[in-house]
Amino acid sequence: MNNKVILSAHTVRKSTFYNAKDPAVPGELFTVNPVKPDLTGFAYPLPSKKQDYTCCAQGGGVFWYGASTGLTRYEPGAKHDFNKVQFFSAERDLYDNNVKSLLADGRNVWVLTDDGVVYIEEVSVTPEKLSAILLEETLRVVDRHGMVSQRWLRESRNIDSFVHDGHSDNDGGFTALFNLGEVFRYAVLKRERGADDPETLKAKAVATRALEAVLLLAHVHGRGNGFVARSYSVTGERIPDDGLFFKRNGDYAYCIETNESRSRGCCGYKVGCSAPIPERLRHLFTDEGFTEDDITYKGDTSSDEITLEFLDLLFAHDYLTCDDPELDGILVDTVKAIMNHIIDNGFRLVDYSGKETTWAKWYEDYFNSEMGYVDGALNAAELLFYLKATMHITGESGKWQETYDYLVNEKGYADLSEKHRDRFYQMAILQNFTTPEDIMFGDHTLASASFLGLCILEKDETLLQKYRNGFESWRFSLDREDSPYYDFMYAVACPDAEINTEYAKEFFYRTNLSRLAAGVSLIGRHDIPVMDLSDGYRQISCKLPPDERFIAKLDRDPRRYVDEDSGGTMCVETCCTFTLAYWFGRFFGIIVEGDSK
Amino acid sequence: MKNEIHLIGNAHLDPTWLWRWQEGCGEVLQTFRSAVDRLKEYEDFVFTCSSACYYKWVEDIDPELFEEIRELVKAGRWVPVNGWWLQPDCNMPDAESFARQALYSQLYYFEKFGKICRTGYNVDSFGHNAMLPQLLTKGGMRCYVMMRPNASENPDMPEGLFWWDSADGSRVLTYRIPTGYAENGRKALDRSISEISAMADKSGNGMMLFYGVGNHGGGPTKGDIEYLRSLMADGAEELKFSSPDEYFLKQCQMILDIPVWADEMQHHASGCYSATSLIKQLNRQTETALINAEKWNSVACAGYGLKKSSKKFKKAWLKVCYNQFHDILCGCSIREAYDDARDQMGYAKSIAADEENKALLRITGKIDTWIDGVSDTVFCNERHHFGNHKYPRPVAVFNPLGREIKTTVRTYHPSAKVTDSDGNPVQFSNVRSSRSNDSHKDTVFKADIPALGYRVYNLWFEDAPVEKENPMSDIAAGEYFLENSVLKAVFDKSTGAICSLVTKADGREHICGGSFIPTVIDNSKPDTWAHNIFRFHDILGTMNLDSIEVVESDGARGVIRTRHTYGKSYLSQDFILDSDSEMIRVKARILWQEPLTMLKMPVTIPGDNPVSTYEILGGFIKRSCNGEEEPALTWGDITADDSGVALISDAKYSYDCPGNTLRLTMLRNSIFADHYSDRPAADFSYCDEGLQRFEYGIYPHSSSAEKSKVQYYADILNNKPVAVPVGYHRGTQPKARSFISIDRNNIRLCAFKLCEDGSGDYIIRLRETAGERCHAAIVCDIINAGFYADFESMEIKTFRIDSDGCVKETDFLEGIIR
Repeated sequence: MNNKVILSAHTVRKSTFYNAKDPAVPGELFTVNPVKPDLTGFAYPLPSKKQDYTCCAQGGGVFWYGASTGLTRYEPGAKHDFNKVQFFSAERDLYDNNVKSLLADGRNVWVLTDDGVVYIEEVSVTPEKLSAILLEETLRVVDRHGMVSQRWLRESRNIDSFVHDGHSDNDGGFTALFNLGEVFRYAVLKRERGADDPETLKAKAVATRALEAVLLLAHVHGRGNGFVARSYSVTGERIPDDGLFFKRNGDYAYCIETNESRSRGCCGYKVGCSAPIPERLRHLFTDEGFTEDDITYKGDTSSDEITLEFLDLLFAHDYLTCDDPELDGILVDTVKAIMNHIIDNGFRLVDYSGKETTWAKWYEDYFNSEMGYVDGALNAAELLFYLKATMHITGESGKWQETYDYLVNEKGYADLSEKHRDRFYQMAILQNFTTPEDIMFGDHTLASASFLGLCILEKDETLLQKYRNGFESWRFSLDREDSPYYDFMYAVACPDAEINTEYAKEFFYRTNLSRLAAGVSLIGRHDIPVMDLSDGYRQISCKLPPDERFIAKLDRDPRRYVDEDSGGTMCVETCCTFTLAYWFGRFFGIIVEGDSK
Repeated sequence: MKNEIHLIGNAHLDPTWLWRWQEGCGEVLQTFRSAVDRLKEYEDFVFTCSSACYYKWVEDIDPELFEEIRELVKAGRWVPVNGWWLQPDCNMPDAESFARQALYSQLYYFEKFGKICRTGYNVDSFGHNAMLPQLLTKGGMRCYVMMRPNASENPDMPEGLFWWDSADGSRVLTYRIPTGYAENGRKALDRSISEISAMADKSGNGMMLFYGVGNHGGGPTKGDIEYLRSLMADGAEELKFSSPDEYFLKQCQMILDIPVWADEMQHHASGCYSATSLIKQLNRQTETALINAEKWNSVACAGYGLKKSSKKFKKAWLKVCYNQFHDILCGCSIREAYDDARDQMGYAKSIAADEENKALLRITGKIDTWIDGVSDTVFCNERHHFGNHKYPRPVAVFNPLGREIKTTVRTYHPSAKVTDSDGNPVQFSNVRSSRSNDSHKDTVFKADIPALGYRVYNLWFEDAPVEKENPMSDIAAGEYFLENSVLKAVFDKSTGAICSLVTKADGREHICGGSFIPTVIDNSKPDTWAHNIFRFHDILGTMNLDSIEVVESDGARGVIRTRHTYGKSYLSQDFILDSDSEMIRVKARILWQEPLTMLKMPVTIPGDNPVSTYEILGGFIKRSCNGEEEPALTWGDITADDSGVALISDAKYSYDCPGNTLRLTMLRNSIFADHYSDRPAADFSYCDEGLQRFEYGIYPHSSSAEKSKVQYYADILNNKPVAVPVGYHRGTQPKARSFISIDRNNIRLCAFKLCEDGSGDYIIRLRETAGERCHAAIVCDIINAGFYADFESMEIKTFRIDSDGCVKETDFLEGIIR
């Protein structure tokens, strides 16, 4: 593998928000006479229209251009092209976009807009340090009983005002991804600093807690049948109205009333919950003073959770629980239970009524149905991956190998795993959309996870090539992400592949110091083309650095033009988009830290 | 049913071939009338027809018939396919031509029928370029029907249904017709049904059977329709009257497991890319002229108040689109058809020249060229360039490319001194002009011109009272060599051929013996198409050197002239090496009078494992060095061990590459429209008989072709800067300006035009040329816009920019329709 991303210390932007009357704000900002900049012949695309620029300032080799539509920073001597022209906009960097006055402070700047004052400074960090800053925020704010997805705030921008609930539909999957990053962090620190280094031990504790949270979801329902819950809440936390929830009550749990349960006619449906939860996992809620009867868990689990959790468990087994036999025993048993559940139920996840869940189906008839046809290639790869991972984790073959052989040789699952692009284009013709529109961004994490796992675990050259082809069949769509995480996974799975290391560098150097989901202003942005998709949805047509695009987890379109579903300044997202990419890259030797240590 | 046979009633119609266009037009009217009658007679019959041009003819000449067709289209009985003006050759037009084929045709279909064509349809075109999936997709089409080459011509390609991918990542669902596009009569239908049924059973997919009298129109006969109905009535459940649209949709509703083809689809008629040099040159010249004129027109509209000319450009482009019809552009129509082609392409070129001239004069009129001291008197000599000895004459030089260029520029009259827009002296030569009066001299000077922009140079007449000043030249030429700071070429005095070509930076010898000896090939066996013949290697001889002389040896360039003869024919070549240039430009003049011959210009390189690379429309392709005749656009290249030579041309489209030798096919002198003929005695006309002038370039380089500067030099050779003499006037515009610039050399500006919907929005089209995914910055000063764009390898992107400078990414249809 020739791909190397050499990272070193760099600066990231930081905005501090002030009330205009705050004594810390220099008075000169209000008295300075705005000078409209002359941008005739400016050599780069400008984020605002030239005529919208109203004021300017400069200091330390940095030029600031204020416009009625945002703030532009120009550094002609910037080392990297992607840093030469930068854009700052509401609400991430400014209160609002009408810049009225600028006051340079060395390479930093005071910015007066309609609604207040912002001080924008550059903060020097290393990528490793940034990863630590983001992790600290996630652990402090986002972590909920060890699960990590996102957290809502009571007050705009006030990170410390987080509310105590914060359920996500895919808590299990997101926590698995977070955990995966922390497993790699632990493995890297252990390799580089030794097992007893305090930082290594801290990393181990973080990774262990998240792993326990992931494993708990396979036990929290008390069904004892290898089922996996999507998420759970405890007494006092709000239950959203977006799925099937079961409230534990002694020996049974009953389905509570939601829109979904009403539409399915299963309100009040009872399901047993007598299987004990391993004490090692149980502490996640008992330490907070809760018991089993405080639990309301979410069912109708999809293949997303299973896939991401298998990837997490695969690496956790190799690099984390190797030092923790008790937890490893639970991990191995859990994997067996899940795999048995899937096999024994005809390659599907079965929920409360003995019926399959909506999105966890891996059987042939589903792949050939109208509903499952497009998912067929992905789901076939997922199931093969589970089986390979189970064999690796348990050290057993037997049933797992027989099933794998059956699926490969009798059912053609390995062949089918190569066909994603074919089936996607087939759908595009039928539904009359232009590829690569209508991408399910969440599927990218699943495809990358499955094919990475298969490419690492499969030793048969013929099958390995099929899985590499399968990964390749997703590239046309994965490329829309400009994500180093996906690129790195691809590079590990397909060692001859080349990835764009400059794009990766831009990602790591241009990520904000916080995962506060404050939005950015793309509407009207002058330097970014927009694409109208056939369903009326709009995307930006080129990549943007993370600090100029919307913040989201790995399941959303990074090129969306309008932020439709994030919480904005009232929400903090998980750090794993950054930390997983970073530690994955470090672990596999793709990222090389330069002079930053 | 999985193995259905979709019966596609059609009438293959060549609007020009063994007849002129007027006859083709008449045949379209008759065929359409007949098809409407059949549709009325048989309620289950479905008729499929391509080519917007035919519909336009019918609309203009027989509006009543057109109305009947509109009703039938609405009812789904008449199915228009192929969102292009007609079925063009799919190897020689520029990608921009395909953008226009789609733009004008799909807009027409949408206006007349309320929908665009989703199926591309080129059942007769002779070969299919590897980038077509992208060109189809960006023109609104997702499926494709083609036929040639057939299974015996290319057995590697899939038959029937398959996915076809291009290098940018585009994909179309493609059907290769396994039998023919015009099956008719019981016997032929029975045979086809039998063959296609067997293939359907084997593949598990449905198939299409194309029936109906064709070539000169016609369509399904009553007999054919009734026979097919009788088969269906007798229980042939697998048969159904259908259309390609319906066929593809049906297949997509089933489980498909079909092959993927990620290559070009060649060869059928390998001789077609060199036959009839006239039409090839007209095509290149007219495309280039229109693309450039449109750029300048757009600049002048956006910044200089010129009136829009979109309608004129559309008329001109439609003439180009028509003459890209495969039997015309491939040089295999009758001689008289090329009189029509020359007139129609001339019409288009004339529009381009008018519009470019208007635009450039409009722009130059605003440039500040004032020189203090020049008299205000209108009739004073000093206000007139000719005979003005006192003041320099300003010349604005315009560069139509999206990147800065350094090249030489030629203007009339000799000079004593040339300075650039900042007053710095630039290198020049006074060279022999094409005229024989007055001084007999023109000026050639080195110019450095901004991307899609201009720079003003000042030229003093040769006898002006100024100190003569000419910066030191790196040019040397003598008996018999030609060199500058970059290259040295040595000529063999017995053959007149370049026998050594060394790049000075690395001291590398790029060629071997036998290079650049004009070689005559026997072309007596092949017909005009060269059916079933894919290699042209029977050497009749080489041309003899008549003379070699050093013509220019200092200043801006050096020139060596050779003259060769063979039989009654001659070839005159000026080998021109500009100062600092990495390319030798060759001005070739050929008088050819040898029937049934070909003329090739070879270059042989040293090294192992040669790779040949060619520009194709919308990208480049690497092909085996197996000696087969290959189509290409402006350049072909051979490289081994990271050292190569490209042969670039401004008029040719055909090469071959046997082993380490790349050969540019300069002409192919077949009998016009000699179709599998036994050639009964006659006073034949030959398609490459007579005089032709063109230029080619010799570009040695390190690295692979696509990573070299071959596209840059090809673009310069094909898009020469335009020198416009300017008056002395005060103006608002600077002496040098770029209107659109791009920060990546591998991103090429393909078009800058007004949007067809009349909104006043502008369209910018860009293409990646080096096979590298990249992120580019595009600054469009003239429309107050600037934006970033991501490109996949060889991707073409189209952007629409509104009056506020806001940018949308769209496609060939400009966001007017989807």
